[in-house]
Amino acid sequence: MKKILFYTINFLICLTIWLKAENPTFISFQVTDEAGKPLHGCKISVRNTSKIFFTDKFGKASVKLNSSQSHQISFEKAFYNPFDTTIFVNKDIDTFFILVRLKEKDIHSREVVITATRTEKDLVALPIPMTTLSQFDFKQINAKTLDQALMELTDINIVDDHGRGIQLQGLDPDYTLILINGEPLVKRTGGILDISRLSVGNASRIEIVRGPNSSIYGSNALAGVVNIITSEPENETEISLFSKYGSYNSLDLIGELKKSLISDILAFTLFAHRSKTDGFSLIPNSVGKTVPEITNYNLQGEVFYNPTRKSRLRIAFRGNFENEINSYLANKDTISSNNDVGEISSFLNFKNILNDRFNYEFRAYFSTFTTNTQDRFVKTKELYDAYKFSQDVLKLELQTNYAFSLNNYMTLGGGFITEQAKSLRIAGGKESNRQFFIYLQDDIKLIERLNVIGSLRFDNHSDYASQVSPKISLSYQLNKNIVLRSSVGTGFQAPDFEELYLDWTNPMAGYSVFGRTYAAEGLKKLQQQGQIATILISPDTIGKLEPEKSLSFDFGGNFSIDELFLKINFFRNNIQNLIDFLPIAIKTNGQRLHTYQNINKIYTQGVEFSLEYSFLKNFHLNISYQFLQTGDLDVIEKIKNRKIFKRDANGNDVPVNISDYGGLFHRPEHSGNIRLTYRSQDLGLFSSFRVNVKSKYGYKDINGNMILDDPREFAPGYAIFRWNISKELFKYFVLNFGVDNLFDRKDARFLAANPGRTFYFSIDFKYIKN
Amino acid sequence: MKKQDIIIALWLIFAIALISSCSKSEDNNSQSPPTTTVKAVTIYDLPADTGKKGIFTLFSLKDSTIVSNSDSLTTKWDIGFAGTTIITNSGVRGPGQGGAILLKDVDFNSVKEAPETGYRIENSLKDLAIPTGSGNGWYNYDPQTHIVSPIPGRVIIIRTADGKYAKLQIISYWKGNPQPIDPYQHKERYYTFKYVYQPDGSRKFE
Repeated sequence: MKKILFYTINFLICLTIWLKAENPTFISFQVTDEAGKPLHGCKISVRNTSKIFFTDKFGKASVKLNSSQSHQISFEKAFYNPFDTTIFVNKDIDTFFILVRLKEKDIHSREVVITATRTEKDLVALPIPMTTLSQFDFKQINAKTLDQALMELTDINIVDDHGRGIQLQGLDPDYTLILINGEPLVKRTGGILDISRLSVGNASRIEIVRGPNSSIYGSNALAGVVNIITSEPENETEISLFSKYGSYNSLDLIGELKKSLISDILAFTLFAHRSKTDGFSLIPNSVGKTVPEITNYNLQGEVFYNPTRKSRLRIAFRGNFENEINSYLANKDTISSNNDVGEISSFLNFKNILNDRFNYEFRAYFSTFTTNTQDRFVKTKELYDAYKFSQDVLKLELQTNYAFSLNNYMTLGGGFITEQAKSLRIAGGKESNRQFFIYLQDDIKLIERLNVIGSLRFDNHSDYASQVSPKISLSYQLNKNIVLRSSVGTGFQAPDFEELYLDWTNPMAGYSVFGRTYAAEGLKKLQQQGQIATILISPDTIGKLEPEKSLSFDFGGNFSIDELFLKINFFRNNIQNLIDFLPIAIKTNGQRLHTYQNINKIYTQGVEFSLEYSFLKNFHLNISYQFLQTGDLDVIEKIKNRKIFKRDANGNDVPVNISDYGGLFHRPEHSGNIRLTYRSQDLGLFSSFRVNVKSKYGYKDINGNMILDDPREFAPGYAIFRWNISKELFKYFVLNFGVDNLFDRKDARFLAANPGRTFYFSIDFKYIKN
Repeated sequence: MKKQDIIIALWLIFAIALISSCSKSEDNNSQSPPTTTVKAVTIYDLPADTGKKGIFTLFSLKDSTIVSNSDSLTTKWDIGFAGTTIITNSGVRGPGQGGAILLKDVDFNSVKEAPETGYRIENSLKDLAIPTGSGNGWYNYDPQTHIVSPIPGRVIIIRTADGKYAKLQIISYWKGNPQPIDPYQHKERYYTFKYVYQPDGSRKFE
C-alpha cells in the first residue's frame, strides 16, 4: 500500500509515504531550498527527544522515532527561515519520508560570520559592523599576505611603522586584535605585529569586526578584530600549489594538501608558505636597505575528527618563522643586523552539541614567541648589540551556548590565561602574570525585525586593575532593502610586559626606563648604587598602571537593491588612559629615569562606506572609503587655553590656532580603494584594476611644539595603481601576470616601504578528487 | 690634574678657533655704537660641548662673545651651554649675580619687561636655574627620532653676571639650523639663538 500526503505551511512541504508498519518508525528527511536544490548541513531537532542531526550533502538525514506519538521537529539552516512542525507517527506506518522546502530569508544574506559574536550569525542583519573577504576576493588578486588583502580590498588604512600594521578607525595597530581561527597571535612587545608576514594562502575567509569587541575578547580588541579563518577539507583529496615570482627577486611558494581519510569523520590539512625577498633601497648608495632581505615561513597542520555527528575535535599546529637581514652605520662602522622571529602555536578545540538547546566548545591554546637580534661589526664580526625576548602564552577557555528559543540565544564563557616573558630588558630577566575572565552574551530577537545583542566581560589580571567591558548593539530591518544598526561598546588595552616590567638603560644616552610595576624597586636599587640625584615623583605615590580604555559608538546600515549593495557606518571612539612616559627621577649623570603613566585622551571619528555593484554581466565594481578625523583632547584643551605656540616664518612665536590643528599623526582624512574587476567564467579569464588612495597625513613635528599644526608636517597624499590578469588553463592551472604600482610612485621619505613599479608572474595549480 | 690641564688647554684653543668661525649678526641698524638702546642679536651655531666632555661654552651677552673657560670663576660670562643644559653665572656655577626665569606661552617680541622677582639660580649641579629635561625647559626631545627641538613660546629671561637683564630664545640646536632635521646627517649641540640685552640695568627691553 502506498499513500502520499502532501501539505504546505509556511513554505514547508511535506511529502509523506506510508509503507508497511513496524515499531519504532524509521523517518527519513530530505531538505531542499525552494528550487529543490538539496541543503547540506540543515540542523534537524526532535525537541521532545533531544535528538539532533544534520542533513548530508544530498540534503538527507534519517532517525528512528517512537510511533503512536507526536513529535515536535524543527529545521534550521543559516540564511533560511527556520521552521517548526509537529508530526504524528501512526503505529501502522513503518517508514516516514518527509520532504522539507525551506524558504530563503527576505533580506538576502550573503554569508555567515563568526567573529562578531563568537556564534554563527548572518552577516547582513548582524547588529555589529563587519567586513568579510572571501577566498575568492583575495585569490583573484593574488593577495597572499594579510596586508595585501586588507590594503587592496578594504578601506582599512595600512601603516608602516617598524612593521606593517592595521589602523582601524584611525586607531593604532596595537588596538586591533588579530586572530587565526579565533585564537590570538602573541602581542608583540615593543613593536607591532607585522601583518605582511601573515599568510592568507590557506584562508577561506577574513572577517573584520569594526569597533570595540573587548566585551567578548578582552584586551586589545579596542579598535576591532581581524580573524583569519583557515579552510577545511571538503573533498576527498585536494592539492593546491602556488608560486609567484616578482621584482626584487621575491619568490612565494605555497603548498596545501587537504585530505579526508574517513568521510565525514577524519580529515587533515597541511599548509606551507615560504616567501623570500631581497628587499630594496630607495636611497642610492645607502648602507641599509629601505626594506630588508626577508625570508618568511608560515606552516600549519590541522586534524579534524568528528567522533559523532554532534561533536568535533580540531587540533592544529602553526608556525611562523622569519629572518631579516639588514645593515646600518654606527660611528662610521657598518653593522650587520640579523633578526630571527619565531612563533609556534598549538590549538585544541572540541565542540559538542548536547541537545537541541545546549552546546559547548572547549578551547586550549599554547603559543611561544621568540625574537632574537644580533648586530655585529661587518669587519671584525664582533658583537655590537643584541636583543632577545621570548614570551609564552597558555590559554584555556570554555564557551557554552544555550538557546532559550529560536529567538533567544545565550552564550556564557570563561577561562584562564597565563603569560611568561623572558628578556634581559625585563626586571629579573623573567616575569609572568595570570588572568581570569568570564563573559556573557545574549542575542535576542525582540520582534522579528529587531535583533539586540548585549555582552559583558569581566577580566581579572594579576598586574592591573580588573576590567568590566559591556557592549550593546541592535539592528532593525526596516524593509526588504534596508537594515539599520547601532552599537555602544567599550574596549581596553592591557599594559604590555615592557610597560609593566621593563628595566632598561640606554647604553648611548644613559637614560633609564622602568616598567611601572618595577619602578619602585628599581628606583631603590639605583639609589643604593648612588645613581639618583633627585627624585621628582615617588613611585609609591602613583597607583597601578591602568589599561587604556575606550568608549565607542557607531551607527549605520546596509542598503541593497538589485545589483547594488551599499554599507555605511558612522563611528566615534573616545580613548582615555593612553600610556606615555613619566619622568620620576634625575640620575647623577644628568639623565632621567622614566616610568609609564596613563595620560592622554584621544578621539577618532568618521565614516566607513562601501559599495558593490555588478554590471554588464561580467563586471564588478567595489568602492570602499573612509573619512577620518582624530585629535588629542588634551592638546585641544591646551590650544584653546593658548598654551601651545608655534614659530612662524618670521621667527615670531604665536599661539596655535585651533583651525591649524591637524589631529593625530599618520591619519589621512580620506582613504580608500576602487576596484574594477572583469570575470568571464566561459573564457576562464579574470582581470582586476585597483587604486589605493590616501590623502595627505601628518608625518612628524617640525616646528617644535610636538603637535600637527604646520603644512610642512604633512606627507603628501598618494594613489597606487595595480593591475593583474589571469587565465585558467587545462582545468588545473591558472596563470597570472600583474603589475603593482603601475605609475612608479616612489618616495624614500614618506613611502619607504613602497617599492617602485614591480612586476610578478604566478602559477596556480589545483587538483580536486571528490 | 695634568690631564685635565691639557684638556682645558685644548678646549681653549678650540674655543678661540670657534669664536672666529662663529658668526654673528645684528638685526638692528648698528651703525650707531651700542649706547643705551637695546639691540637684538642672533648668534649662529655656537658649539655646546660637541665633544661630550661636560665642558660648558661660556658666553658674554654684553659682548656677544665666547669667554674662555679659564675665566669660569669670574663675572666675564653670563650664560654657559653644554648639550641641552644652559647655566647662568650664579650659585654653584659662578660668582656672578646671574639667574633666570623660564617664561612659557609667550612671544619673544611681546616680552617688554623682565620680571622683578622670581629668578632661580644654580642651587646645585642638579637644581638648575633653567630646568632641564624634555618639555621642562626650552626644548622637547622626541625619543623616536632623537630630535631635540626648541619649544615655541618659551623665552628665557636672563639676569647677567653683573645684574643686567636679557631675554633669550633658542632657535635651533642643530648646526646650520636645518629644516627638516635629519638626526643621522645633521650635527647636534650647535645653538642658534637670539637675544635682547638691556645694558642700562633696567628691566625694560624697549
